[in-house]
Amino acid sequence: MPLRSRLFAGDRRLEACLVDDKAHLTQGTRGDFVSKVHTALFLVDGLNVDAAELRSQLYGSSTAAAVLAYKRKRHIINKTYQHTEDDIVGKMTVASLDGEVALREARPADFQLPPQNKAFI
Amino acid sequence: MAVSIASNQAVLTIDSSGVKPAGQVVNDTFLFGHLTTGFRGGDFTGDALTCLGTVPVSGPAAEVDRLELGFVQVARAVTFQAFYAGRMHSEGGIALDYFVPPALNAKVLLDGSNNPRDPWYRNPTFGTAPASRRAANFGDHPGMVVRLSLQNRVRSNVRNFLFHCFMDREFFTILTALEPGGRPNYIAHFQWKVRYEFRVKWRSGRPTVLVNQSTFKQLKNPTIGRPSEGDLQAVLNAPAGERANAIGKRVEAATVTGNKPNRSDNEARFITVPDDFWL
Repeated sequence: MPLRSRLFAGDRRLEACLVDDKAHLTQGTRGDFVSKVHTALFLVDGLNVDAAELRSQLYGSSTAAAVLAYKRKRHIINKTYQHTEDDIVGKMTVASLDGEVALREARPADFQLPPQNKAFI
Repeated sequence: MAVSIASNQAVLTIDSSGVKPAGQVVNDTFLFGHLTTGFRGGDFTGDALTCLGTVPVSGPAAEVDRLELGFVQVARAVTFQAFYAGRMHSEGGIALDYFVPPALNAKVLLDGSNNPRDPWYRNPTFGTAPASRRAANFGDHPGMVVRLSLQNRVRSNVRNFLFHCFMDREFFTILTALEPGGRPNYIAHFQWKVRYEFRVKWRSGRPTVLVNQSTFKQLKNPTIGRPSEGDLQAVLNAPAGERANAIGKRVEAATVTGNKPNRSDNEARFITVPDDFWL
């Protein structure tokens, strides 16, 4: 099944990441698709990455740390060859991010808007 | 014999010495624009601008005693906009424009504080001054509250962050006498304005750089009589009903939860976003 979130759907590199081990995202990768991962991590878990990596669309060390935090929180481990989480965006991770982003997109924006009672004092 | 009010001898003594427009982030959620005096602990606690109005009043004591002297204030909503940006270009931008329909349909509003009776800004308290003058006090502290972040509807609901906002409002503060069953007698007035304007930069996810370009200005010195501005006359002729504060709460909610032209969510950031907006 292809990616379904508006953020990820139709992105050739992320679609490939979903089905092809060779398309996994690792440190040093750069491109629009990395920016989408940055947005997804921020949207889902509030995980921020270094501003320089944001600007240069780079999967750098802070992106890797954010990915690892995301995976640890959900215990995303490929048990066929791993015992602990890694900092790579592979098939399981991109699918998980995509599903959670799609849920966020389906919810109204500012679902829990804090009250504001003092616009005109 | 009726009450006689010597309107041409009215005196308005304005004190704006404590007015210093400033901004403060409150609870990491809102940016407050305030006037410093009367703002403590992240909330509005008192007046910043004050005025004492006095006018000679004569006539039968019983009638003078029934005369109410106080202030009526009319607020003109000029403009109020806020702009948000994503951390990077692809996370988009949001523009809010509060003072246009349908969020706000009338720009001239009767103002008030503490749920006063019509037509008052605050319910008058009886006061006297030397030389048979009656006195009334006025105080105000118009503020601004803007949300620090909103979710961008066309960019997967990712959070966008405030980088620029400004609000212009003008006020006509009018010393007014009211006899029981009578119509307001607008004795003297002055006009002033507050512009709040802030630019915000974010560091490590927090709003830490606040550029304050806000101003306070007295536009018109004390002037005998009612304001002559055409757009005020309808409110001055029938000064009753809901006050600007209550309307403002609805305007804010209607804007942030609304659509164009009050709120527009965009796929790209505005070109006015500084390069160092988010570091």
